[in-house]
Order: sequence, then structure tokens, then C-alpha cells
Amino acid sequence: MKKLLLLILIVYSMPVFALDPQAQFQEANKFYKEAEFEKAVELYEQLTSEKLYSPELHYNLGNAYYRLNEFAPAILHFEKAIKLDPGMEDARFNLRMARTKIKDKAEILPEPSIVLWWKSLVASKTPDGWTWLSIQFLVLALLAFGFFRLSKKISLKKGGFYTGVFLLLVFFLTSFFALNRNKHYVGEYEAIVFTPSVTVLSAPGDNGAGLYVIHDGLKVKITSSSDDWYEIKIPNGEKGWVKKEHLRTI
Amino acid sequence: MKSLKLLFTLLISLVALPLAAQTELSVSVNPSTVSVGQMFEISYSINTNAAGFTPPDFSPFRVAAGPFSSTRMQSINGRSTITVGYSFRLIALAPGDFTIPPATIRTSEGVIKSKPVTVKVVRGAAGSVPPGSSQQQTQQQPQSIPSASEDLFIRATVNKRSAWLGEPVNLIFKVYTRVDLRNVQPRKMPSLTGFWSEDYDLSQQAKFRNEIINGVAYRVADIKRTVLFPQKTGELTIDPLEIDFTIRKRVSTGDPFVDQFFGSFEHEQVTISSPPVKINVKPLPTPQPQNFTGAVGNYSISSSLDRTETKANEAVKLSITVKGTGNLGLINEPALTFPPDIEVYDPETKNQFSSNAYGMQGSRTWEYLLIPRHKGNFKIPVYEFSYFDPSSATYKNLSTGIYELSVLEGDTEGGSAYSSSGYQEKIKELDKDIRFIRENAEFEKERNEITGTFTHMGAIALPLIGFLVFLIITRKREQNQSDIHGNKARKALKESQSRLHHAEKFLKENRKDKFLDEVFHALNNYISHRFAISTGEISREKISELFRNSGISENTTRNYLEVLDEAEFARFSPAGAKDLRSLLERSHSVIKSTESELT
Repeated sequence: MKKLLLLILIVYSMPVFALDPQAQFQEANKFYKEAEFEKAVELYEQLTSEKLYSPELHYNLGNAYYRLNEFAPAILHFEKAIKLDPGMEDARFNLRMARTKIKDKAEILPEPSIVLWWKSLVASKTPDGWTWLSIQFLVLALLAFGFFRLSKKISLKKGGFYTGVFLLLVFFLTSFFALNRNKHYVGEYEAIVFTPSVTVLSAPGDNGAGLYVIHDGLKVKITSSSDDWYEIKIPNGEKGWVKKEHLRTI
Repeated sequence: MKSLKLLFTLLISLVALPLAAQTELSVSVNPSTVSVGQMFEISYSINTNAAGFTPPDFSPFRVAAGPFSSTRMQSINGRSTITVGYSFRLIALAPGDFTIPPATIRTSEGVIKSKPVTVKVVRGAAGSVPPGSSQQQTQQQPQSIPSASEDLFIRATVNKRSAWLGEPVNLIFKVYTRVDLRNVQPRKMPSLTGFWSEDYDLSQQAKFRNEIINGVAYRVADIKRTVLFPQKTGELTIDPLEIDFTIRKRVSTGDPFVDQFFGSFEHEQVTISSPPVKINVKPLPTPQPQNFTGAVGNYSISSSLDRTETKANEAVKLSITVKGTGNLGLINEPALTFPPDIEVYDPETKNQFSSNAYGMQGSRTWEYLLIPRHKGNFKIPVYEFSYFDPSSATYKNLSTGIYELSVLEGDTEGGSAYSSSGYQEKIKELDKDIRFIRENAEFEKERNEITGTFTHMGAIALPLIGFLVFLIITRKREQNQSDIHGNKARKALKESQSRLHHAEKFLKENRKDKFLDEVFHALNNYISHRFAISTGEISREKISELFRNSGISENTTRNYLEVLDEAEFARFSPAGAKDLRSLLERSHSVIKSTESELT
């Protein structure tokens, strides 16, 4: 009992270190509305470093960078917002606007709405959310099979069997969602160029032959990596190697 | 008869002879005495159908023009005659007497040669009468075609041969003619490279007037009037204007009297070009005024502002006008810098000028629409205009006055909270701007802690294992269920032995009732479990039947029944119970034997 009391005392006497993210977000918004974009960026960036995942945060940060005419970071954060919430139309719109401001004009085709719908569905839960759901379905499926196993009547057996099969399929589906979403959270396979002008080489290492030049704000796919080099693929399909330091992953 | 043939041949030859004598390529020179450098005409004619006319070598005369060919057919009283003619214009280069060799032509009778002809060339004195111009010609010139250079030529006249860069130069092409012109068709216009040109006085019909040049009367018409503005310095050339003329000329029979009444006409096409004219263009003198942009001529300027007081976001109009003569159409739009915070739109140009011999004359006005965005007092800048006056060869500077524009508070500007720095536009979300920020954010802690990890695997494995176990259990259970009796049967022995063990304990404790209970139940339950019947069904007969059916010996059956009876009896009258220990042991053994006989 004494131990418990002591614990409670300690806990309540501890100063509150953790910032309420919502409050900080609101404060940053206020700076933005007063056109103090640098301060807004500072506060937004702080929130991102706290490992808080929020599409709205990245969207607002993208807007703030856009206002400061820093289009590469703007594009990065719009892309991040879209990754977290593929259905966020505002982020897509602003991304399109930001793209018009960069040097490399790449034709990015809009995704068909069915693809967007699918992506939104998958993004509607966190990976753990899907995982938890999938386990539930697994259990239900097994229960259904058990029911099938134990019941005597044919109709009940049939019911049990088919229900079991259906629930099993849902289990696989939700598991797939979980893994897919996880890949999005964790996987680094797209990046934005941050250096104003970079020469893409034919091989990793400073001895590679220069192939072409890309500029800040361009979105590239990362296909491979070696030491501190990435192999990238640019929108027109060409590949090449650049130093990791020139890119920031989405 | 020989003489008859001879006579016939002679007659025929006589007839043929005059015919032969008639076909002749005649030649004539007009005039036959010329001076050095004078152009004259040589013409050939034949009065039959002929082809392949070959002129002679005319040297030392120079062929200025030709050959001109003409064909005439005439039919009088059923008799038709044809005349073919060729002529050349020659120029005498040196004095002396020269003989022009014959020319040849081919007819149906063969090749015919003309006679050679002599021309006498004297020095100097010009003013020989142009051939074919007057009606009082001698009969030596049966047919005359007018000379294209002296009877018809084009002159390009300019009002000055030397001009400043941009200074207007008046150019008029005039046609001088002494012949009857039927049709005038420009063939090639002069390119006038290096000039900006503006045609003027474009009247439809050229009017002819009379002029006398060198004692000769001509009819003159202005055929093209252009005013030129040289755009480059140095020597510029006005290249020739080429015109196709169709001349109507009289075919002279030699007798002017006849000509007048019975003469016929024919049309001839000639191409005449004007001689090129060189203009020397001088660069404008330096130093040039700072805001001089190339205006040459004579000008005045004026300006106006339609209001001197306005409200913010309301438009005011500024007009600047340049009036005068010169290269007006080529001068630049005024370059003005307006104060910031005034939005200026590209001016509207109103041109009211036309070209004449002195250049472009009239006025040009530029109208600017100004929209001040904020209140304040603004100065509309002075317009400074410099031009070069060729008549005085000096630069002249003009300027408009300054306007003061006072701008009051606009209607749309509301609230004094905003300063006039214009940042407000930055965060205004217009059509072509990014969408506004989000008010609220949903924050999620990193939520992919277990996905893909071993925990995840475990979480999947666990239910599966559980299910597997479940399956195994149910399977076994079912197996056991169906073998439920076998189950019990197996246990029967154990159970009975356990009961007897308990019985022994009771015996030791001298609890007779309990002892007898256990023994009885042991024996009964053994039967019940072993043979899968309920205890209620147990009777001597039943036991006998069961034992018999199971192949148990008579001896064991009898023993079992005896022990059972004893146990039952002892239960109900415990006092009468004799050897309890023996009962116990016998129970043991009888059950054992039954069991062993069954298996």
C-alpha cells in the first residue's frame, strides 16, 4: 500500500514534459494565419519529429513552405500527407500547384478514382489496426470451423463451413492490408530531390559518368541502394545513381 | 518537137522568174546617218511566209534592243498578202562608214539573203530626230517601230539625294511617253531595302500632262508616289521599277496621207525599267539627348489626366499626344515609370495620321489606364520627348508637365487593422492559389509496432494451435464416446479394486456397515460397468446369462454369485456376518478371475 501511494505521488508531481500536440498545432496555425510562416514551419517541424503521424500536419507544413517559396519541402510534405491519407484532395491539389513551380516539369498522370478509393481504404487504419482486426477474424473463422466440426445437423455444418471460409478470407484480406500499410509507413521507396541541381551518374561512386541533371522538387523512385548512394528512377523512366544526401524520402 | 519542149520550159521559167524576183528580204536603216552613241533602227521585211530568220553580225554596232518581230496579213479584193518583219535597235560606237552584212531567212523556195546596207556614223552633234515620231517621213521608211528608250522611259525622281537617318524622302516614279500607251502593267516593284516606305496619293488613274524635255514634247504621268524613311546609314539604292507597256503603233505604208485614213495599227509589248537611284543616308549627329529614340521631323507634344483626385481602386486616364510631320508612325511608345502602388495597364494607341510627300503627318495618342491601389499623393511623371529636326539639323527637347494625383481611401479597403504593405494578398486564397490549411489534426502515435513482428506471427499461431488442439480433443472425445462402454469396462476392474481397498480400510477401522457397503458396491458395479448394464438390471439370472455369454466358466459364475449373495445378505443383517476378511478376499479373487477369463 505504501509503495502504491509513493508511486502515485511521484507520478503526479512529475512536470508535464510532453506537449499537447493539438495545442502546438493550433499555435502554429495561428502563426500561419498571421503570415509568420517561418515560425509556423518551426512549430510544425517540431511536431513531425515527435513521431506523430498526421496527414493534416504535413499538409499545413507543406502550405507554410509553399508560402515561403520553398517548393521542394512543400512537395515533400504534401506527398507525406497523401501517403498517410490518399483521399486528401486538398493535399493533391496543392501538390499540383507546387509542382508547377519547380524546374523539372514531369507529367504526373492523375490516378484513376478506383485506385484512389482502394488506397484510401487501405489507409483508413494503421497497420496495427488491421493486424488486430485480422486476428479477430481469424478467431471467428476458427470458431466457425469448430462449429462446423461439432454440429450434427447438415444445414448447420454447411453454415459453419461457409461462414468459416468467408471469415478466413477476410482474415487474409485484412492481413494483407496490414502488411501493405506497414510497407507505406516503413518503406522508403520514393523521395524528393532537395539539392537545386544534381547530376545523376551511371554508377555509384564519384567515377560514374554523368547522365543528366535533375533539380529540386522532383519526385523520384528509389529502386536500389548501395553505401550512401541511391539508385533512382525518374518520371520518364530513366535510371541512375545519386548520393543519398541530395534526397529526402517521403 | 524538141523546140516545143524548149519553148514550154522557157515560158514556165519566164512565169517563175517574176515570182522568184518578187520574194525578197528587204532591209532598211533609219536613219542611215547617225552620230556616235545615237541609237538607230535596222529593219528587215519579207512578204511571204518565212522562218529561221538569222541576223548578221552587227559589230561594231552594239545591239541595244531586239529582235522585234511583227507579222501582218492583208487581204484586198480576195488577194491576201503577208508581211513578216524583224527589227533591231543599234547604237553606233565609233565614227566611220560601216556595212552591215546580209541577214538570211528560209522560205518555201529556199534560203534568201538580204542586201548588205551601209551606215554612216558621224561624230558629236546630238539632236537627231527620233525616228518614226513625226508624220512627215520620207518614203524611205516604210515601217517604223518606235524606239523604246527615247520615246518611252521611266524616271525615278527624289526630292533629295542625301538625307538624315529617318528623314522623309519623297520618291515619285514618272512615265514619259511619246507613243500611244494601251496598257500599263507593273512587272516588278522596287524592293526599297533599307527604307521604310509609305505610298500616298494612290489615285486610280494616272493623269498625263505635257512636258518639254530637250526641246521634245512628252506626255508625263506620275505612276507611283512613295515617301521613304531611311532606316540604315550609308549609300542606299532605290532599285528599278519595271513596267510592261503595251504600245499601239501605226503600221506606216510610207505615205502619211494614206496612213491617216487607211493605216492600220498593231500592238507591241515592251518592258521598261527605271534607272536605279542612290541615296546617301547620314547618321544623326552625336551627342544625342538621353531620351532620344529616333524621332525625326517636326513635332509638338501634349498630355492630359482626366482627374486629379480619385479614390483607391478607381481608374484614371492619362493621355499623351505627339503631333507633327516626319517619321511619326515609327516613333516608340513613351517609356514612363510610374510610382509603385499604381497599377498601369499597357496603353491604347490611337493613330490619326496619313502619309504625304513630306512624311507621315498627323497625331498619335497613347492612353494609359492607371489604378492606384492605396491612398496617398502621387506624382505622375513627366513625359520627355526628343526629336531631330532635319531642317535645322538639331535636336529639340519637349516635355509634358507633372501631374499630382491625390488618392483618397477606397471603398473596398475595410478595417484599419491591416497595414498597407500588401501582405494580405499573400494569404488570400484566390482561385489560382493553394487551398487553405487544416484547422484540426488527427494525431496517431506510431501504430505499426506489432505488424510484421514475431508478436504478429504468434498472434496468428496461437488461435491456430488452439484450433488444432481443439480438433485433436474432439476427435479423441468422439472416439472415446463411441467407445464409452469400453472405457467404463476398462475402468471397472480398477474401480472395483479401489472400492475393495476402501473396504479393507473400513474393516480395519471396524466399520462393518461401511465395509459391507463397499464390498457390495464393488461387486455390483463391476458387473454393471464391465457388462454395460445398469445396476437395476442386475439379477442372478442376468449375471448367469452375461457370464455364460461371455464365456466365463461355471465355477467362476457360481463363486461370483455366492460371494454376491453373502455380501447382500450381510448388508441386511450385519450381525449375521461371519468372516468378513474371507469375504473380502473372495471378492478380490472372484473379480480377478472374471476379469482374467474375459480378456
